[in-house]
Amino acid sequence: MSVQFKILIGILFTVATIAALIIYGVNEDNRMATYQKNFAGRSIQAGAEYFETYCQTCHGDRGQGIVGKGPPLNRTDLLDLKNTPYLKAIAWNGTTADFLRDTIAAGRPQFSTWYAGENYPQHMPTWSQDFGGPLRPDQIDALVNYILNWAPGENEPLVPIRTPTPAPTSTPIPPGEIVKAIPFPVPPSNDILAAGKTIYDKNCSPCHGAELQGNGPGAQGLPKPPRNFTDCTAMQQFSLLQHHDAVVNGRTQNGMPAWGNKLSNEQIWQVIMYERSPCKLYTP
Amino acid sequence: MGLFNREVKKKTTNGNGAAKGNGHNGADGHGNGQLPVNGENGAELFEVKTSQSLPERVAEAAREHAPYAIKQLIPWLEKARSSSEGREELVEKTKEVVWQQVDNTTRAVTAGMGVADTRAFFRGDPPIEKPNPRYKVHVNAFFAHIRPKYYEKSSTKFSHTFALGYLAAYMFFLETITGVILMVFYTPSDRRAYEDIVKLMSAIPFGQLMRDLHRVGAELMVLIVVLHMTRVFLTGSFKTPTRGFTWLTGVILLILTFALSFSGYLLPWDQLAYWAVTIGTSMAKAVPPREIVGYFSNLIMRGGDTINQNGLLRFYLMHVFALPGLALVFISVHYYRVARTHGISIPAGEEESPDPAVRKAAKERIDYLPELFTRELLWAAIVTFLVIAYSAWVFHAPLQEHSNPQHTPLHTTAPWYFLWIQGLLKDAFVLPVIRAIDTTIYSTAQFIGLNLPQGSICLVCGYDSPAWMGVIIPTLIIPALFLGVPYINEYWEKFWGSKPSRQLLKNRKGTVVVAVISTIFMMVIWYQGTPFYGVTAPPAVEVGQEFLPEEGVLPPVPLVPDDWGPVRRLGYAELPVGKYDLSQYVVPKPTDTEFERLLSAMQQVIMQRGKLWAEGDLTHGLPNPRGTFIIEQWQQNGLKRIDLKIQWDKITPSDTGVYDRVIYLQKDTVYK
Repeated sequence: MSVQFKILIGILFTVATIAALIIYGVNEDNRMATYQKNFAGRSIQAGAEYFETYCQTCHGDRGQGIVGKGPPLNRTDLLDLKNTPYLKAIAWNGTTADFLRDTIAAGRPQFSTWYAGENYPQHMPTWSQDFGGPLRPDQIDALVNYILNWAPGENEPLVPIRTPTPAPTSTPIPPGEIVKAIPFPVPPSNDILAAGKTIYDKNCSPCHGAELQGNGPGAQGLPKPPRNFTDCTAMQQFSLLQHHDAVVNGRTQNGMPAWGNKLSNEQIWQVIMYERSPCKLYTP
Repeated sequence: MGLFNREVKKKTTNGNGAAKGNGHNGADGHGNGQLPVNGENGAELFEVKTSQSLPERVAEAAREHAPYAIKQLIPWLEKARSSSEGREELVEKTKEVVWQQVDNTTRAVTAGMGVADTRAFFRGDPPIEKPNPRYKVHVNAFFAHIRPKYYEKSSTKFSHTFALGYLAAYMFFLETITGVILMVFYTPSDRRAYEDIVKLMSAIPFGQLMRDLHRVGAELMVLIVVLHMTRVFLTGSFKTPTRGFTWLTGVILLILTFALSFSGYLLPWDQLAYWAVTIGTSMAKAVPPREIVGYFSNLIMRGGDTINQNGLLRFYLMHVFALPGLALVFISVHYYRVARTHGISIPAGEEESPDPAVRKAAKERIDYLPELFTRELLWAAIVTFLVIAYSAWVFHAPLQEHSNPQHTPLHTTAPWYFLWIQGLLKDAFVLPVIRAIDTTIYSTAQFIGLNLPQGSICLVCGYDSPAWMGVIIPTLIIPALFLGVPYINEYWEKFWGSKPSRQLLKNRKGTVVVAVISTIFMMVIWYQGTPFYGVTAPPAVEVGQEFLPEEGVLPPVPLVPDDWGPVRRLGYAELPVGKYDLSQYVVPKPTDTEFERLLSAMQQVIMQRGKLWAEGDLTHGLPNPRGTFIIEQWQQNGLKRIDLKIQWDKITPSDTGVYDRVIYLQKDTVYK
């Protein structure tokens, strides 16, 4: 290939490169805007997942609140981002996002006067890793984005304040039935313990702690500390039937919800077997 | 002012001399005589020769202060005043002087070549002046002095080298340039790193392009370096005593390339980055004795038990400072040896040809300037265009969700170029063979009456651990095989007394066999490293993973955009709210929408699992599986909850018989 020909082709490619950069550059503003929305959306998606793991046990699966557990979040006075009646009432000067971020991160050391007449005996625990909780800053931001996504759009009417749904009532099971309901080989297999761990991690670990020691972030502010399943002396006093009753019917005065209507009978047994595994107390 | 100063000074000197000396006055033709000397206020310095008109004075000053080129013209200027011949001569002289000036400037700019030679250079003509001024460039200019004056003609054939060494160097510079730009927008902090990358992509013009270029360059660099080494091996270019050391520096550069690419993986701080590097570094944990070497090498790399802020900072500093510095040193040594010590090899067939004419023709000189120089620039222009076009419109560097140390994604892998180690770690191919040999030795010993305690004879003690598979075998392969290739080869030839030859198919048949076997072996263990092989996730989870994969899964091959599964690809708008019983969608109809075809695809996969169970495959099959696909409008502001629910007959009493794979999808997200 002659030198001149190489130079010619080289110049053509250089011109093509510049043209490619110009074509690409023309669309940069659009691309950046799309990308920004894309990642804002992904943050909301992540927030929805974290909400399901950490928040819905108290605030309800759609933020509607649960009587006796946690107040509603999906409500007009909080999410009216223009007039912010709630923030004005509690004399908060920042934005709603700031308020949510700070509340999730640092919790609520005092009961809200806003809910003075209602029954919310638990304190909001601290969730940020900075204050001893389990969540990273990006997770808290995702939760804030998810909660703010309940706010109606520019021209949409504000939905009325949602009243909290009552806590699920449970039907007590007589003790004789409980013994019949034990369908498990004792001691339980690894499969049962693994299934129990999955249910535990999702539903119980916020209060009872990931290591079964009763020290989860949700434990703060409860009337009575959650049970520590690794304390074998105490566990020996806690029979299998009592354990089953506590899970099914709850101990609402202590802040333990009833799971009888939420988990299947087998799931309840799986989680009980998992909880009793540190001390290996499987027989009634 | 200087203009007058000088004139006046000269004059005063004369005047003083006259006053003190022979009393001659006005001899220099200044009609107004001499001004009184006033030494006190220095007024004589401003004396003006009023006998000269202003143009004359200007002309005189110009004569004295003109640049060299104009001064040369002055005699001709004066001639031109008097005659027309003079004017023609002046024109000629002016042309000559201007040409000289241009020529001198060109020589300065090109570091040695005049105008005529520069023209010849760009036209591809032979040099005009003697000695060859292009060689002068090699002496005068820094970047040209790094390059050899000429190469042996056959060594520059494209079919011999494929320009792979040049391309590797090109990629290194591309990485350096784009990397420095990326450094401007990046903070190596576990709190800010991910956010910085999102900002780079969403708020910095050309930020995404820079990141894509950096990623494409990195993947290509690994690929090119491996291919370059393969080429050198196959053409036998590592042979001859001086090339052995060059090969050795090349192997070090290969390792550095891996390390550079791997250390960069962590920096985006997403799930992909975090877990790929966790897997990579956990191999170091397995170096025996694990309590000392394994523990500390892991601790030093990660800066803790798991990768955290410390680990990120360490990887960052390795990536932007230590490794590039080392690479630069070794690139320099490697290049210097190729350029100055032994040159690029010429094709073996020509070098070892019995025909002396062929041997001579192969060693004919081809000058670097301009033939190879323009060839390199052409390559650079083409590759730059291809890389930019590929990053702009085809491949985008992946960025998945923020790293989460609490959650290991299903099917997460090491980067593709370490998959072969992961394959070895899966203990499926080599270990059974070694164990079988071990058992044979042991039972043979028992058979002949030696009652040995278990484990006293073992080829690979502790072979159950990742130590052997993940660390010792790879680290033995690299120094022993790769670093030693030229030296082993030399002794091998001496040992067998064979005549050294570089011709692959003619004289190195053993090498061909070894190369083919090791390539096949590498491909097999590489495949075993991918999630397609030996995966143990429960079948329902696998179905969920196929359609709604967890974030944090790398494609097992380079330069392929990452996959988010068909549901996310379909997108928010195409997923109508509802509860779909998948058994209604067994047979896809031609009128089906894309969504309905997706439901059919899900049902096919679920039915396949049922079929496997019926055939007796209890690991991959499910008894009587049923699928439901539930899409709920979760928030009115564009958020849907998508749940793939798979139910089956309980296998054991404790089996839940149901599996939910849930994702949320927001309306603005893009997964294409």
